[in-house]
Amino acid sequence: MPDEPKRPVSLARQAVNLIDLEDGWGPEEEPPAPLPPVPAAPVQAIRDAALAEDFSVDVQGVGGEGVMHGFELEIEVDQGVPAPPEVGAFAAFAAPDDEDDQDDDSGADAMGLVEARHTHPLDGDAQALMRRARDLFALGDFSGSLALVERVLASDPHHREAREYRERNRQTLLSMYESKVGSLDQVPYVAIPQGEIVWLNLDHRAGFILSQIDGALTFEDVLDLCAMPRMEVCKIFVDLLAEHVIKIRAPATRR
Amino acid sequence: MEPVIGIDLGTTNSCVAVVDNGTPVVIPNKGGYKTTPSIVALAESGKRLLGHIAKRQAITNARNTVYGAKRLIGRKWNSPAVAAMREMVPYEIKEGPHDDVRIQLRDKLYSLPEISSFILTEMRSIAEDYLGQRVEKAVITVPAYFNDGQRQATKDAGRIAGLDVLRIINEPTAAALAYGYGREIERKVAIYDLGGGTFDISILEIGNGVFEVISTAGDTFLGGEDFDARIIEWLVFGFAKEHKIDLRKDTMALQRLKDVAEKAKCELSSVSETEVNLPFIISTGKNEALHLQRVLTRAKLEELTVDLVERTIAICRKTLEEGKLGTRDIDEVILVGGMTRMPKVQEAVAGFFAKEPSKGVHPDEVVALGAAIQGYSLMEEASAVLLLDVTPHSLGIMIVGGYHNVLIPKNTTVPTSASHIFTTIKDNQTSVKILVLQGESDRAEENELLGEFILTGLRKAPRGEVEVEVTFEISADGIVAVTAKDLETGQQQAITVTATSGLTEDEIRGMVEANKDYLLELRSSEELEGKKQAAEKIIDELEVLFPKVKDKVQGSDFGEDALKKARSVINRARTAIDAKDLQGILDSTEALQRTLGMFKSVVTKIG
Repeated sequence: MPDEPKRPVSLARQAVNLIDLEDGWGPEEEPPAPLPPVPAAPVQAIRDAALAEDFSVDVQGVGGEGVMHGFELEIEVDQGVPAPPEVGAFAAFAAPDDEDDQDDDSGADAMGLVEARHTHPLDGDAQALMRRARDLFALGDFSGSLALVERVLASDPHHREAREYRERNRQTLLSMYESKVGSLDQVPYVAIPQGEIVWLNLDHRAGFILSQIDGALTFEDVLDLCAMPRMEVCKIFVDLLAEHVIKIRAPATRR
Repeated sequence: MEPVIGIDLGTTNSCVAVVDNGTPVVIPNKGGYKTTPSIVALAESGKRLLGHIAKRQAITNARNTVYGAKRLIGRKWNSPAVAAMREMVPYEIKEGPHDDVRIQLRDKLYSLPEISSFILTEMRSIAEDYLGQRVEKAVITVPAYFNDGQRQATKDAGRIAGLDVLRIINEPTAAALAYGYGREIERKVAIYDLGGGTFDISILEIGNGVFEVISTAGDTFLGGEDFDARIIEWLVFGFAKEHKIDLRKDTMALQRLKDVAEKAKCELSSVSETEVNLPFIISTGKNEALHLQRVLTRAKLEELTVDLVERTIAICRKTLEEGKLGTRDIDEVILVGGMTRMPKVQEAVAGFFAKEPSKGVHPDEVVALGAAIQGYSLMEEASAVLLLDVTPHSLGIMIVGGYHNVLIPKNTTVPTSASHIFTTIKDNQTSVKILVLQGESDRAEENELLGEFILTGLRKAPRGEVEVEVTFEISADGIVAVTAKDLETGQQQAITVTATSGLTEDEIRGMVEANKDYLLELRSSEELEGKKQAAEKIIDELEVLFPKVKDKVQGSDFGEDALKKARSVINRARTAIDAKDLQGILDSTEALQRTLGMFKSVVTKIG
């Protein structure tokens, strides 16, 4: 097997390989090498972008049921996109030259090969979702990528690659949201009259967070007391700040 | 004089007071509140939450939030109170290694004294912040009905919190002490204590500086939370009628309902109606969130809770009857506990006792103030205050047939002693087993077994001929000594019953050390926070001055260089702040201050 030619494999190519390997992996053959890590998101670049003036948040999705749509990062692809992982040992799993796929060898992405070890072959929809999730991740649309992997996990909760992408997306998004909020030791307060709150476009989870903001507790305190996923709460903070529903108290007046 | 704090360690709220320059004062917490919820929680991050912040997440993080720990402290695992609590609370109560009770919070088991020590540690730190010095001595109050084990467990909690507990005193005694402070009074006083979770009524005799509890009773499951629950029900059913949605099924909605119910209840003590407003209380699933808006009137609240108020009055009636007292015998009624602010409660109490309750003492603070006064008196050499406590439960031994023979009835003033002569029940009986019991039931097994011993060497004789005298003695510290003596031979055996909290000495020591470590960590994180804020303040000032300085020094190489250095100082400080590096922040603060001084001088001199 080490003598097999090393060549990049396209995403479409992997779908074929997956089925081949699941069916044809015999006992005398070597098992595949360990799963390569999901590429790290460029956290610093994202932080810088988040702090930049042109960072924009689509507040339409406030508190949506775990679906984070509408986040747009204006960062250069070269700067922000994780480098594709090395194909390396995974090239061994590439099928022999296939005339049909000759034009597909430009997009090297070995990550798809991890699916070869998955015990539950994905159906076509899930494969397409994962492919799209990878693309969105690579393009820096982490909320979009997260939404897609959540859909994959809804039908197959043990999908290893989807779980890894979910974790990485969450970490990256959390990092972005925290950067946007700033120090979590800051004290937020409600900046609009009580009577105007009902006119906001919030769901009950954002409503709950808003009800905990009293001008005395820090962001960190609110995170401690709300018993909700940190990423979701930080997203709500970002949205409420962007909408000027809440503001941050000047440091001198902190309790 | 070394300060001694008085702590009212309540079921629902706790309060700390001290005698400062001769005046008893209640100490507010960091949020400015004079009472702190007796709630402990562990956040997902592992951070220990206490007081108001713990209360605000009590429903959304129910499994890791402990409230009502006072109902469990010092109880045996098999006691009915523990069984009742296991049915009621969402946190996990487990059996401890010494027939005691433990609570599971995330991945760790905590003893009850440990949980209470977290609250006491908080109260201690509130006092230290106020006094600006270390506090090591305290007087802690407990309900008059607490048994020896519960008192000892409370004392252990104080020890774990790093406090030398000088005295455990009864709550009504403390209230009366605060009421009588600085006054020469001789009267019979009823203490009506309706707190957040419990109701107690106690009758005290005050005279010549002596405070004696004549009688005490109550309901350990009746308090302000029951009033809140009625408001919540009213809101929930109103909402369900309108929208066909049960808000209780959503923990976030329920948390908000609980907060707003308590707020509305408090407001209605001073206004006749209040608006309950909870925007975005629940989502419908059709991408739409609903709001809850209702007006609650005082009259409605009174209607919703009339039976709760009546229950307290029924207990008062029974207590007076048991003490063979009439309402005319009561000279003064003192109100204790936040719920007594409710006008309807005051009206019911005034109606029952046929006199207006005393308004001279603050119901939330009076117990802590009394404890502080007691602490102060203990440190004063010529103290004029003498506290006489009573036995909260009857004491006796088991006799033939499995009955409980009471030697010292409940509410007997301590110190005291009592004797009774018993005889053998079998011919030629040479030994007797003495089982020492505490409680009110006639059946021995329904009472608490304090200890047992065997008296041997009795002379052989027909049944009923050998006489054994059993003597109970209770010291002023509440230590019970029981002696059994063969009256003919003089042969005797004795036992001293020492209260135990259910913790071993080693366990307590380990907990004391763990608490010290926690406090050290807390103090260093507070120091970090303080220094961080100071550094941030200077950075803010520098950022304001930056454009002005840039403007002044434009074109000068020296100025450009200075600006670069200033920016580098700011960046270094920010890095240290982000990394939570205390030493880095301290080093940067010095540089920041120098830079600020330079900037100010440039702006003033050149400007």
